[in-house]
Amino acid sequence: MTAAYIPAYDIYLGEGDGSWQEASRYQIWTRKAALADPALSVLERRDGKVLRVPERSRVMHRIPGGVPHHIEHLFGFWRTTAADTVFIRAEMDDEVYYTLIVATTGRDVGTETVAWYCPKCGAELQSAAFPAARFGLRAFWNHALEQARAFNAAAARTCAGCGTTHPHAYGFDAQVDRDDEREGRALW
Amino acid sequence: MFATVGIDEPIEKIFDDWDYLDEKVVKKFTTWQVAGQNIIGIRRRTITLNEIVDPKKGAFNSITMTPDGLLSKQHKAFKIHITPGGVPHRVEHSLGFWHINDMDELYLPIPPRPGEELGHFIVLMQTPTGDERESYAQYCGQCLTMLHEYEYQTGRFGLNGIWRAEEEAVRSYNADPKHRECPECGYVNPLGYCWNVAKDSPEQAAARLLW
Repeated sequence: MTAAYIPAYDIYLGEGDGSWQEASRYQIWTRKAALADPALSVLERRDGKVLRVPERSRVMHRIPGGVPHHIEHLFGFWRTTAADTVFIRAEMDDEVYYTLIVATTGRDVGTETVAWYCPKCGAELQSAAFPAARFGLRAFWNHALEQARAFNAAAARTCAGCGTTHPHAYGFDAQVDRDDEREGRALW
Repeated sequence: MFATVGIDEPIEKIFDDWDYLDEKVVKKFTTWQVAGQNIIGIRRRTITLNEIVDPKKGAFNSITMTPDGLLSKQHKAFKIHITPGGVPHRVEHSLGFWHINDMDELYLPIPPRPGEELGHFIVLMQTPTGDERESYAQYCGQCLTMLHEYEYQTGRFGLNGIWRAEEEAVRSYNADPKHRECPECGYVNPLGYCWNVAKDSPEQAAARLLW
């Protein structure tokens, strides 16, 4: 089978249905949000500690492959990609444009991991690996939602070490949030 | 929520280059810089919702070669443009050749911060490895017959060699007037020139104004 020849792709930030787009070897997500909305802040786990990427009127930050990261209010789990993720935040008037870019080739899509860690002591509560290179990005987000729902239904939400209960997990698409997931999305 | 496991130190103390658009960091990306798995360039340009203007080269408009002919693209703020690997492309008055890159190239223009004149034009591409390469080609401006091609094995010889390769591509094309005369239609094409205007000879500067 011969792939279609596509000489160029154009993506307008904040337009479209809000889902991830696959353009050639890039995976891209964008959103235009009101400045007053809760910020989509990037958190990274570094040596078991949580690092918050500061918000500025302009930010271009690289989340290295292999680093678990969570973007508040966008997806309710810690995601680890094999490829680097580039996060861009740009304020314009009373709006904020967010962009996530995963530049990936066949060899470095690799395995994606979905995980949760205790917010108090940092212990891993649950994790699941997903062969994204084999099943693709769309299947990954479905898998992440399934995992989030399984996490919400399990005793794993309560840390065996310190007894802290983790807030509810949630998937990527807010349109399909159940009540507990909506509550989780508002919290973290 | 993660207060007890949070890192209290300012991020600047942990990572020097956590924000590539920071004034102290962005200068590293004036040409190309390897950043993790990608190569990034950040150009300072006038960027509005209607157009992009380079301070030295004028309006930024790209042209892509397709099986149906040339495709012109008007670039503007907040519009991502991707040129897939293998597609010949150039920018008028900026690239005096057609760039054919094995890697995809992504452009993302961000308008200036309030009170600033120039925005950030972000160019991102994957890092070539192994046999992945790029070439600097010349096609006839009338009939698109390929006239000249100079190839550089980026994956093998590294990013540092691309400027020398680009210069050599332009030099070798310009060296012989026969290269510029199309064997198919007879049209005599203008001289090639490099991306960096500082490398222009007077003749190349004149060619830059033409195409």
